[in-house]
Amino acid sequence: MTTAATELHFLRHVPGNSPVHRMWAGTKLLVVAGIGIAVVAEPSWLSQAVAAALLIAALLACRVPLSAVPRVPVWFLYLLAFAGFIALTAGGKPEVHFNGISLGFGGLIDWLRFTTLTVIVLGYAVVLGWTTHLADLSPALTRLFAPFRLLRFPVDEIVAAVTLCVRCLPLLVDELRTLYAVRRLRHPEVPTTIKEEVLNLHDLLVGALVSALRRAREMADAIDGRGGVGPAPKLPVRLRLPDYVALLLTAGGITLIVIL
Amino acid sequence: MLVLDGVGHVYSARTPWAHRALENVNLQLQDGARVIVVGPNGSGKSTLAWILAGLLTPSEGEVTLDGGPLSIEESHTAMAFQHARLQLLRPTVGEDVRFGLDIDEAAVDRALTDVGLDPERFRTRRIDQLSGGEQRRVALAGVLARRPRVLVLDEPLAGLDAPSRESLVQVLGRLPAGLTTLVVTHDTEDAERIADRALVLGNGHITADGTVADVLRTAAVQ
Repeated sequence: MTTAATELHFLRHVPGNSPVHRMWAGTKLLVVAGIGIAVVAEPSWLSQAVAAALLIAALLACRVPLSAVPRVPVWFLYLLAFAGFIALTAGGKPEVHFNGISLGFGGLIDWLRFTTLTVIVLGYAVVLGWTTHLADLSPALTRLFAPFRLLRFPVDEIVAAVTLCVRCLPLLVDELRTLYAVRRLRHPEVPTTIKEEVLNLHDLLVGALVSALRRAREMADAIDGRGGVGPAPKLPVRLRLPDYVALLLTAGGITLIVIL
Repeated sequence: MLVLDGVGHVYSARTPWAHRALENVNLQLQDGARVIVVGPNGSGKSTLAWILAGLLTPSEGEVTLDGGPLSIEESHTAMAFQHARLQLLRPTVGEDVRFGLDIDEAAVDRALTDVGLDPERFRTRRIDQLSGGEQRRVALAGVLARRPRVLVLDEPLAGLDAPSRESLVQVLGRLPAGLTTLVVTHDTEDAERIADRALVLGNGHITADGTVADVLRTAAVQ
């Protein structure tokens, strides 16, 4: 017997009453966007250290148990290590000379820098997912995007699209599990060649694409049936102490990233 | 004989989302048994179906077929899901039934006939031209062509119009004799035509087990 496709917990809410849980969803989105953009624009080690320090503070404050941390599959770690090896072959300064052979670590250091950057940005997204109900995102986005109405941006439609994408993710995951199960039951032989692996992946991807398109069409029909997207909800925003602290720390963090 | 001995399952064990779906389920199904499993949402029906189809390893207990492990690789099991379109993996009916198998056209035709579809009309039909009921029957033909020993059907009648439903009920009523069939459903209207035995699940436990008529009568009284 085999196990089903791995259960996906990425961005899944963990109930709690920590200061991060109590923050307004908009504050968390601003923190993630602000630090994320700053550290991607300036991905130096010092910038990453600032972003990582703020992330660790958020992780400690949200009091989510370690068991919630997503488990990375072993094959992914091998793939990452292989990418590091390829980056090492790119050479570049600094170089080490040994017995007439010179080895450049520039590529490897760049690989390490961008890998840690990715982990940090994903870490912020994970904290946001753990501490925020999906239903809170739509009103928060409406508030945050409100200034763009002055520029005649279709804010309601953008918010509806983002919200539907996030809400439909569990549906898509569920259908992918079914597709994977169907493929396993009807073609149980384990792929042994690269061609078979590619065909296997092709079946799953085409199925997922068809499923996503069908869902999108059904969703669009449902929205039409209810008279269009309609204005996004505008709930009152009540900022509390944790929000002010988070915004201050973020402003300080971004300033440090820019200065350093 | 298919045996479940002390089977239990916890999803996302050792995480904040841990959720028990089944607990201490003991069950013996003779070869050719035809069973429906009913119960409210969240009672563990789908988890039981996935375990019996060999798609999910239970956290506790074991599932055996004639004393040995249940194996997808040896085609012991097959499962037809509610969303038939997700199960159709090739562009035409004939290609889909043949998918993953080394069988000739006659075998494809037999599988289509078994599910009440005329091979001459349907063999070359495109999947997207089929009605919902026809899609379900083609999906069923695909799993039956593998000649499984255990067949699990998840809500096979849900969302079908009356004629499609009647056709599928007739197909389910004449499945091969030695095939152990487990139908997971909310719909008990035609239960006696497709099964001899009924199980009721509640909160991950089997709360009733008996003939379809007895179990449904008891459930109706309660």
